[in-house]
Amino acid sequence: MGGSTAWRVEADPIPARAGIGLRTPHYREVLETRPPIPWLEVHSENFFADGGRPHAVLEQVRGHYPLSLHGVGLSLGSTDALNHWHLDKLKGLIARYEPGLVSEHLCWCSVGDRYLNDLLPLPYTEEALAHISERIEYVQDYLGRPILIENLSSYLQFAHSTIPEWEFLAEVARRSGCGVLLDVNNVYVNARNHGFHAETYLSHIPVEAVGEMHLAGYEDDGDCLIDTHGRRVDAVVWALYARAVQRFGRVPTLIEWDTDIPALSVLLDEADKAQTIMEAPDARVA
Amino acid sequence: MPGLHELQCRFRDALLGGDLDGVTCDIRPGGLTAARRLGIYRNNVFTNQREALRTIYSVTERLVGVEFFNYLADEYLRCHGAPAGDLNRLGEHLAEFLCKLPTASPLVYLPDTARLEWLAHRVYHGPDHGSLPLERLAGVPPEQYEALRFKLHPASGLFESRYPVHRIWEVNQPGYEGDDLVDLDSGGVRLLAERRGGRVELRVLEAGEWSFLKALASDRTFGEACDAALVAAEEFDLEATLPRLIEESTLVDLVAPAPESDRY
Repeated sequence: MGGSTAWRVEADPIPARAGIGLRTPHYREVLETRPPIPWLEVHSENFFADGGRPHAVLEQVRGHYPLSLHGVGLSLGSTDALNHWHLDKLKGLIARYEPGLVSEHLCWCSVGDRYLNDLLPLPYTEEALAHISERIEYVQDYLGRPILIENLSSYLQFAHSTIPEWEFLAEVARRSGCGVLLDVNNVYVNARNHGFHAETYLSHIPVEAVGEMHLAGYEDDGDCLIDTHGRRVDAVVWALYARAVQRFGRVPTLIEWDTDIPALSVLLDEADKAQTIMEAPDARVA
Repeated sequence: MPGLHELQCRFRDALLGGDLDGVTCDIRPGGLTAARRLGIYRNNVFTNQREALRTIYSVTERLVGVEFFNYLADEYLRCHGAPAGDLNRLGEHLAEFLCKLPTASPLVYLPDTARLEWLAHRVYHGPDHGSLPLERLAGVPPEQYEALRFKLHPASGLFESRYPVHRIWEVNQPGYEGDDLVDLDSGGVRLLAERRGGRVELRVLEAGEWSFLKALASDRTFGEACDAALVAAEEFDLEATLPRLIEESTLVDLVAPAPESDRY
């Protein structure tokens, strides 16, 4: 494993180290103190506007850090036609900021031109598999570059799904040529919510496909784990991450935090833990 | 077994409309009820979209309170929905929606407040543009002045209300500590919303400058804009106003008339 897979962009790579998701409350501190973070990731859609402060910030950020663009709204699994307004905005961002990685989700978030702005699960069927694989292939051609696709956390399964989620994801990567952004927390959340072994999931994802990992905190709602991105990474997820590092090797890993965003130092502390595990998967950090 | 499109439509309708029966049979049974599972998604959808509206319409929210704002947001979302995967595009029609919402009608100034907030949002995210070099103006032959067309900064907008919306905006900004009484009978306001240093600033315009900028924004010529300003306010001081508008990047471009030889 390492940087040899075809979809890794050699010109401006994201290092195989632990970075953080950059969110608005930390813009100023990151620019003023320039903490030694190996790389940063932002949500693509937050920069779809034409100008103003977000772009002024991102220009400066890009001058100091490798950058990854992570999308939440392309609606790859939707049965609507692909949204070319969205695709053109993304393409413009890629041209402007030359990100090391570009990623999206294995989900849909709109139908009938009505956006729900949430990551909604697909039924894991042959129809959905063919549909989303074809669309990812089209998007990669349109953008002129490979993308990574992230597994999502989910709170239900469709009755007519015929393919296990891990096989579906692996097959999407095989058919479309995309890479996998493996969200380790989401694997754990789904394993608990749907009653499978997280290790089974990891063992079915091709090693060479994984180009990035995500880590975040969940909340236990009693009968269901909710992927809130609002807490520290759980001890059991750190352990699963260590297993993932043993299987997939060192790949760029990101700490995500989107609700109740804490001080920047907390995110940096979480990134340090990820870095420690990446370097020594047997280490105990939590 | 539903096809993918049919399933997505049923799922969407269940989340937005609340009638869960249409999609319950599609959800694998066991553990939580289908209603609980869909409830998690419905909560995510409405929370994400409400938060996006709350960010844009923070003054409107302060005026009506959190509870009413949530109701308003949900009604708006059911009626208009979100047009894109980019949440910054959500909420364009909230002011019109407020005009038609009977429960909001006692607050007559609310739609204009929302309209101003959408303008501020648009200005905040509008395109960047360099300033207009004065040499370009100096290079225009005096006989062409009248026919010049000046362009306003693309991240700016003119705003007019019969209510003191500027004052309402001001006293509801985070950190405002002055007198927060607003006299609704104090009259209307005309504003220019601009972006300075990444922040949106509102400037109150007098009749002359308002008419001048309004004409330019409507693609009228410089000559026509001067006439409009002088009709609105005899004392309009063009010699002081024009350089200031250029210096402050309110006017950022100009289009000179085509030379006679290019006309047909």
